[in-house]
Amino acid sequence: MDQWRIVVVVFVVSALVFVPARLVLWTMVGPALAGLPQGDHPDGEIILILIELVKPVWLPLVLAFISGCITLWAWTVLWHAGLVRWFHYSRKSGVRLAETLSRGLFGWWRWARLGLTSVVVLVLVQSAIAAVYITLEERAIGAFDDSMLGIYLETGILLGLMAAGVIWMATLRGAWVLGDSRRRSAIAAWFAGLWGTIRQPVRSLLTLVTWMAPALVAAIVPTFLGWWFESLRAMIPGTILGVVAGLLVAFCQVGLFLSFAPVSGLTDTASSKEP
Amino acid sequence: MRQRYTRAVKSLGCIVCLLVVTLPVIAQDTDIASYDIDVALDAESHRLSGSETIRWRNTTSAATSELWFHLYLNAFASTGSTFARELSREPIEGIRKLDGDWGWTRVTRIQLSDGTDLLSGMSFERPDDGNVHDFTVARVVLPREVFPGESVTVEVDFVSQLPRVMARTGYSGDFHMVAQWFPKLGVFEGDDGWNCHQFHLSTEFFADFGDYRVRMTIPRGWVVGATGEEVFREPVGTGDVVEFRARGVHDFAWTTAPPDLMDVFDVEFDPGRHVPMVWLERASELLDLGAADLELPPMTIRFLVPKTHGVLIPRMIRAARLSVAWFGLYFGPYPHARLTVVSPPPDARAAGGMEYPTLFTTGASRLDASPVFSWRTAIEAVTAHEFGHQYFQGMLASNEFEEAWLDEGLTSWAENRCVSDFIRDGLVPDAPLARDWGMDRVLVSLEDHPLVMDRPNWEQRRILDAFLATYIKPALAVETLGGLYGEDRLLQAVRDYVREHRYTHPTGDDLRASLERSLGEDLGWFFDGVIRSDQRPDWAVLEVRHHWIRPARGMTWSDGGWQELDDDGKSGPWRVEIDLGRRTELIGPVEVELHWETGRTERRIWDGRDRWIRWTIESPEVVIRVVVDPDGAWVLETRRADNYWHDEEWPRDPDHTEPLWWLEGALRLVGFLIVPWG
Repeated sequence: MDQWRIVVVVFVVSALVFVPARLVLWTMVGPALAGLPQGDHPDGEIILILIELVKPVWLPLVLAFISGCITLWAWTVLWHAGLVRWFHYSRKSGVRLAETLSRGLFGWWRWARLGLTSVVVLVLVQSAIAAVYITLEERAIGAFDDSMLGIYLETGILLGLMAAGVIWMATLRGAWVLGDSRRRSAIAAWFAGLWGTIRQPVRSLLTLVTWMAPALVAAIVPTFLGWWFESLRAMIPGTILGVVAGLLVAFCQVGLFLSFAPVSGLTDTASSKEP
Repeated sequence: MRQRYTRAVKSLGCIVCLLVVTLPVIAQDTDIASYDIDVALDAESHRLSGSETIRWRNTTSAATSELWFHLYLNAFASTGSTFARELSREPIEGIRKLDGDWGWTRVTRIQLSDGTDLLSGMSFERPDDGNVHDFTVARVVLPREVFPGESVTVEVDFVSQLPRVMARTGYSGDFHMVAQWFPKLGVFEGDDGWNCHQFHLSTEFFADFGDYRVRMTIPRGWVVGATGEEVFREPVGTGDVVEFRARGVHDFAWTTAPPDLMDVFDVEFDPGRHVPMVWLERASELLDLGAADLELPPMTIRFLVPKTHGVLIPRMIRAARLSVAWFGLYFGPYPHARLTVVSPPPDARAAGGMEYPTLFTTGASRLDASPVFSWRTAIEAVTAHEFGHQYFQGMLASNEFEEAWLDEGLTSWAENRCVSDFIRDGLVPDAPLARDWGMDRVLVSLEDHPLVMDRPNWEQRRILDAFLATYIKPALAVETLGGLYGEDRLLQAVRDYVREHRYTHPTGDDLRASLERSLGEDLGWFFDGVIRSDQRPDWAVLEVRHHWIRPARGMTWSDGGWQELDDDGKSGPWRVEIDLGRRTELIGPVEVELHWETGRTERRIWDGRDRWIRWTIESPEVVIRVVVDPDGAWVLETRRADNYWHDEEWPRDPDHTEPLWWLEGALRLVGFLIVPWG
């Protein structure tokens, strides 16, 4: 498992990108909440205090949050690109973090285009689903027959989730396709990834579920653990819990990405010329 | 002949039943403006042709030689009406929806019962804004004055065109919600003249009580629901004639639709089966009344529900029965033998969520049956709210133009308490989320502009302000009284208010007087500060300081001479100075909780009269936490961060980290969801 370094870095960066937002929250809200006594609070008290304190700094907070999201996305592109290029050009020499990331940096824009393609497709598909739903809803209401509305809505949500999953898998596969030096078009690579996903739906789905189910659990469960056991929210146990969960999420994310690597390489690219 | 005889017997039987059921309850003088209306609906053109006989009695101490009428449907007659102009200023679907599909009421004949024509002297009035394009108020001049105690009878012929459904009236397809459809008298207020406002975007109605007999001709076989009781129905020509009668009401609305669109059915409200025992016990304890005093009469509830909403019917029935039970227990029995609940069909949602005497519309959607939305309590909340208006508007007919907060605020407050009890007692199994005042507090906190409850809604800055100032802020204000004086005393006081003012037009001053009587408190500070001004409560712990009182040293006069003070080396007590502040002009009492280092807590009352106050306490221990209004009695206070003070040298309670922990969790999840798109 030479990839442990990349797992650690993925976790660290994922945690760091939201530090500005965290700082705003902790410094603005933390001291005020400290005065709350234990036990039941008046209705809506916490959210009122949060609104009152966050309202004056909402713009910096939103900017910090958005910049964190963009940074995290850009970072994900970087390590995806780096891992693919390492796989194609250096894997015989083992993972060297700096080398992987520097290779990722050089190919960043290509993989960024792939990521943007997936975002555009995601928005288009979800919009199409929403448009179909709204059309069906308006027709049903205009015809005084809304008996199918619930089914339309539930089907729309299910389709939306499935589409998101397919687009995600297509992006992961496309990222590896894009590693082929003969591939220059991120859009074509994405569609090649989509084609691969459609050709192997069960395998793709199983891979996704195998890695992402524990990752999702790791992302959500600590929050509930800290809710149930308040001692876990203290500084040290809370930090440990957050780090363990974050590492597990990062491990699953890296594992998922590597799972879509070609078993024997797309071509014998280890000796091919780097694009 | 036989048919006519049968009809007469049936009518007589229904009228006798109606009188037997309603007479004991409606004992007050409710016969002021009574209407006898014959109307025919042309379902193709959605047009009503009617004639009415209005008998108006002057119950004031002044004479008048005028009659003022509301012609509400003229609000939809053009883009120039006051309603349309107000609508065009709001970021919501506007009058465009009406373009070419106008609604209006035209008076074609108006005369006294002796045949004296009044139409030639009819004029349109614009008492609110002088808008010459508004025709929602008409005035006729009588040939002689109507003196106190006298009556006048006028006959009116009219044609009303229903608009495509908007503002809770109109048609959609074959569904017709026929509301505000007939020329209707304003309220004569003696020396103040006629109270007859134009129709506005965010105001409702005001009228005198009276008896109604309405005979409508509708297409054959169509279902119908209306204010009051159906006394007969029979086929005539190509349609059906249906007659409804209602006593002691101040409006009449009805709805009709083909039977393949809407189902109509009656269910019984049997107090023995439909009043939850836990509610009976709680109401008995809170109101300090015996079970006999809380007894409710049986009644019938008629439902008109779209065919496609069959799956929602059990929820609608349960919500209606529970609402009848809850309001009946706390504010006295519903005074009529019948209630009609209309759930508009899918394309007529704009007719939903409106109250009329003995009839209200809800707003269920088929999506409420989907697991995605079924956890919401929209059906229950709207039902409880609109049924609540049977009390705070139906019986206590306050002026919804000038003091909309009075009925909407009390109804919203009662709705919240009612639905909270639905959920708290597990009577809405699908709804997992407890209902509390949190959302209302948040809504008010987000509005930075002054919210003045005591002004007409058309003078509010925008419709959102009107909503907050009419529904949310007054509901929070009433609940604040419960927090300050006790839930039981408040419920008893509101019950007294209902009993004292039913079948009248209570004002805010009447509410104040009634509450003061019942609570035995002077509420001037509350009505001046909360109701009549835009002030919001905002208290704060300004500062807390501790001074160790060093034993005095030096010289002191003792035993007839100067002596040196004996410093025995013992530490003295702490002098704790707690500065509390009031950040707004609103004056009121507030409770303060002090937490001492030994774990002892004590509560003190600050009357809030001074802008700030310092409490100096000598104590052997230090105070580690100060909380102003620890129970949130002032639910109206939304700036709460500085209500808490905590000594940083003492460990914090773990609770305080919980909100940040949730935010951390949310950030972790966001991070998880972004990665796939890289």
